[in-house]
Amino acid sequence: MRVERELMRGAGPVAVLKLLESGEKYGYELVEALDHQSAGVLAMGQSTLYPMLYNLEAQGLVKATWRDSDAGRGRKYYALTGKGKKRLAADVAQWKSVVTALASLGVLSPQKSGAVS
Amino acid sequence: MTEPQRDGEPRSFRLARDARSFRFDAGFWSRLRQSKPSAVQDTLVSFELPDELNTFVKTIVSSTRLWRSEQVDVAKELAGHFRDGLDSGASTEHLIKRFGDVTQAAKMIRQARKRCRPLYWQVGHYGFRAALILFGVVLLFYSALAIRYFTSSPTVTRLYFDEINSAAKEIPEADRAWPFYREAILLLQQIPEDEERHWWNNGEAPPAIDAPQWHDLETHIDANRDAIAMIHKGAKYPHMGYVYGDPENLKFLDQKLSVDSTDLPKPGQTMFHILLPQTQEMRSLARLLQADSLLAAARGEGERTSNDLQSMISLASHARGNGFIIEDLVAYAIFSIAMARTTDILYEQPDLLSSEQLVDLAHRFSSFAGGGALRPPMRLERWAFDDFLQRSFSDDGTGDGRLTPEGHRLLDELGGPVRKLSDQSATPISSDTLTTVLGPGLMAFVGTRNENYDLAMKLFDRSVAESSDPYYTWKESSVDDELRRLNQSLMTKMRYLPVRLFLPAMQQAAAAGERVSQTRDGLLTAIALELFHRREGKWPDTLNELVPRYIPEVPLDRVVGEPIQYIVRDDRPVVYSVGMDRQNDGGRMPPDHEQWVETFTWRSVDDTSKPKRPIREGYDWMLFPRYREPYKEPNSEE
Repeated sequence: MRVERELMRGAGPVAVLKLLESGEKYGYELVEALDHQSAGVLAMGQSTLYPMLYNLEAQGLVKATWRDSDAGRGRKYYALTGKGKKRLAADVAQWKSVVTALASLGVLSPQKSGAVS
Repeated sequence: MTEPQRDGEPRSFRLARDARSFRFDAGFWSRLRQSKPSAVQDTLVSFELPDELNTFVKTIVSSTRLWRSEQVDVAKELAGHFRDGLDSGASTEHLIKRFGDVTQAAKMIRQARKRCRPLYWQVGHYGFRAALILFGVVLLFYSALAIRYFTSSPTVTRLYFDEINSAAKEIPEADRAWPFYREAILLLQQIPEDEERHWWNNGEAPPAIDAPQWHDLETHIDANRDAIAMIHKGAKYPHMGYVYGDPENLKFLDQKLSVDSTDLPKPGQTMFHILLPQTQEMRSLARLLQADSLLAAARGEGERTSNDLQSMISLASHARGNGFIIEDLVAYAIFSIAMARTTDILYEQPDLLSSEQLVDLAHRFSSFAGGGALRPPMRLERWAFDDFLQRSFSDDGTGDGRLTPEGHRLLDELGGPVRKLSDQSATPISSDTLTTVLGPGLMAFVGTRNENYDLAMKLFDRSVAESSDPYYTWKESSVDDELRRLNQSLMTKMRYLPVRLFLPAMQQAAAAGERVSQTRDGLLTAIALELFHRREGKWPDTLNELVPRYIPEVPLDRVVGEPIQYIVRDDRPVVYSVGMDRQNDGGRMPPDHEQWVETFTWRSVDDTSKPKRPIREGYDWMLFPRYREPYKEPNSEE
């Protein structure tokens, strides 16, 4: 199931920040991780991912670094900054509240809301 | 994280672009290399992508319209992305399909990358955009103003000029003095300006009686005998009767108005445009009589002297014309010449005029302009202001409105701010162009017709109320205070522009009336003293002895509100006001012109407006005898 564009606009950055929490990643890695870990729900094309990464970089939430890959080609790695970590924590807290609220309305089951953390 | 070392890394590029850290570092050289048109292509080579993906990446990055170095950076990242996809077994078609919409991607990448640009660029870029938007908004607003401005026009509902001229036309021709004055003006042989002063010292102390200047004066009077006769004829008529547009005036106007020999205002002109060609000429006629009276008195011709003085008073009355403030001020000047001559004659040749002649002159002096405290009536100044408003502002049906292009043109003609701006500006922009461009803006800032009318009339009323009584009741003008307040802020300066430009100097005009009134009262007292002396053979002890036979009451010293001062010195009467220092200095004559002027130029007791020029003490405002400039030979002028 694909998520509506507006909903993705809110969920996408949190998802990317969350993926970077475990360590730096490059673009293709992020695309694959989003696709596989969210069972395709949060899968996004590069046309969405890269502008999102640039925006996160402009906001100082992630830091980009060029390094050579094993094949000797340049590859850009993205890592979470201190500011990004704080934003992630805040966003997660907000999403929890949203999920809890939706659950209390019967939109979500309580078990699924725990998946956000 | 360490600074990347590879060519073309965008972080170095960004930092190097930042003004705070701009230097010739690796980023600078890499930026130079990346500025080549082939930089994107060169970057893609190392990724060994299929042609289809190479083209795809190039299409995306070229669509972003980013800086070349930014395009290289994006191209590298996307190429790396596709390389990783191919290496993990994805097909070219799959990768392209999964990428998403190219146009949308290019647009989003562009927006996102621009947010990553240095602060100085952000400030410049968004500042410029904000300025553009602001300019657009202002332009839109100004366009709306311009439409409102250029579609507005004034409506003239009252023809003030015609009303004034109709009043003159109603005077029977047999009662009009002007035709004789006009003839006298045409006959007048003017004295060259540079010689005038030395012939009879402008009415001040004349040269010695045997001086050669007297011969010049006789020649001048002989040359003007016919003109003098005409003045005397005109002076006997009760009304001035100057009619604008009278074809009989054409020759006179042709001679006196150098540009356009018509005295009628052109269509669209206001009462401020009305010419007063006759008024200045009246002063010339008075000077001729002044000269004639000087010669007549020197020759001991009392009747001729008396006639000259009588005609001067009539000239002064006629010069009041329709009642414009400038006409009244010229009338006061002529009246003052007559008073000065009479004062001098009475002091230096007390026996020259008979008692009957003195009584007759006293009656004429006391009844000039209705007697009492002399004041310009200001009626036509109010009309002139309203006439300007009706010809300059639109009318919304209730009598209110906004400044129109016609009003702007009139403001320009009458010395408004745009004309001044154009005159003072070194640019070749004409005042017409400035008027067109600035007009809508001026309309927005200049107050409405009612706002300007109400304030002007309030100030007229207040000025009349504050200065209708003698000097001793005066305080600092609240009208001047109000005008100063208007000048303190640009908004009020513009809002009440017509008031600031066209309100006459009312207190100064009233002060001129006070000076003439006090001088007249002093002269009437002097005439009464002379008549008393002739009858009683002595000078009275006090002025009360003159009442009521010679004067109805002892005149006021208008500066302090007490009876006018009188003493006898060397068996001659001395009449004076204590003057602006408000101290009785015993009838002490000022030593020079400057100090004489200070004795009667109004200053309030607590005047703090000129702290460096306190009121000078020690002299009185001498009324009889009067202060006279001593005679100086032409070559001893300076």
